[in-house]
Amino acid sequence: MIEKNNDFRRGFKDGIPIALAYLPISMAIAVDAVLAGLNFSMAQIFGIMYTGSGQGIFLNYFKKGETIALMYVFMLFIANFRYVIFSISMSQKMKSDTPTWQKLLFGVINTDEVYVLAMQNQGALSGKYLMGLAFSPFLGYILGNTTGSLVTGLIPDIVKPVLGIMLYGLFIAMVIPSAKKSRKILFSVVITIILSYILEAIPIIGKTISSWGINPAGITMITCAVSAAAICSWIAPIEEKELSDIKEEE
Amino acid sequence: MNSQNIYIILISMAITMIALRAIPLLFFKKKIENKFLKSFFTYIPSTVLTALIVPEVFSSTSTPVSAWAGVIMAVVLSYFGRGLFTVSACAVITSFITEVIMRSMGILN
Repeated sequence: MIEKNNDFRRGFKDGIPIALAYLPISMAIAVDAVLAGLNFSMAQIFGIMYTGSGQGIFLNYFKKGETIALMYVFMLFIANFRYVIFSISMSQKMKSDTPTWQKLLFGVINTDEVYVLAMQNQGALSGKYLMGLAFSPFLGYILGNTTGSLVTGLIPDIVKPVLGIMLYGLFIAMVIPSAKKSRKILFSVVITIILSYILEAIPIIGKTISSWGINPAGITMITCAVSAAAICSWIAPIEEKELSDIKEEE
Repeated sequence: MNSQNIYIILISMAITMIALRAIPLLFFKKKIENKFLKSFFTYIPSTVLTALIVPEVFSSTSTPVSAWAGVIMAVVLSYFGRGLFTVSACAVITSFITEVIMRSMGILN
């Protein structure tokens, strides 16, 4: 029993570097959310969502006035479907006697960074270690989110017009390292940019979608991301060994 | 948009996220073997992020000029391995300085 509690503490400690990295990020996203018009309690739910790119999707749609919840959920689902893959490989890394509630608690607060760190451990991992490992980053994120939503009011007006670029700065910092590591990822980024401008340049697409009573921004974004990924997997499928190379550094 | 609608969107997104993270851990035991699907899910995070960035980033500040300055700064810094927060903060500062300069020259109101 005592040994198992130590497992949680060991995990918690191992997760602290991730927690420190998350804190300013969630703070920046929360500031953007409050500036976009969310109130304090909305911003807290926003933090519990616990996904930088998902929150980016929300803010992007929200600023464009998208009102259909399904559009947000669908894009979130597509963007984070990789967790299914994480979970599949994770379930093979866990000790086979891990209780279901521990699997669930870990799963709910799992992230890319936690996954990568967990996979670097040798041998099977206990549920308590994994819960600890996932818990400290989650705390860091929530702390940053709450702080961010509280301090937004203190930001001087003169800086506000440029804060919109903050979130895009985060996204750029997430994409560039993997594009730098893998030519194929770089290729997919270029394809997405081209597609995005093509869709933007054809006004009839936007007009048709608007005439259905739907905000075109969300649809074009999904179309763009999904078709770019499909085109790339078709032209340049990723080999098994490249897969682990790309995943490790993310 | 009324606040009830915002709550519905936020809560449904949070629930989706929880389900997406937790459910596969309970049910999936097998590996995905299909090469196309594997590639697809490797590509999707970067294509989604890119689709979020372009073209919206260029209208995220007062003028495309300052947005471009911020983007170039962000790309260069992240290429040289700087962390998320440094990159983001420097992009904001670069855009800010660009706008201050443009205002002092009378190009931007």
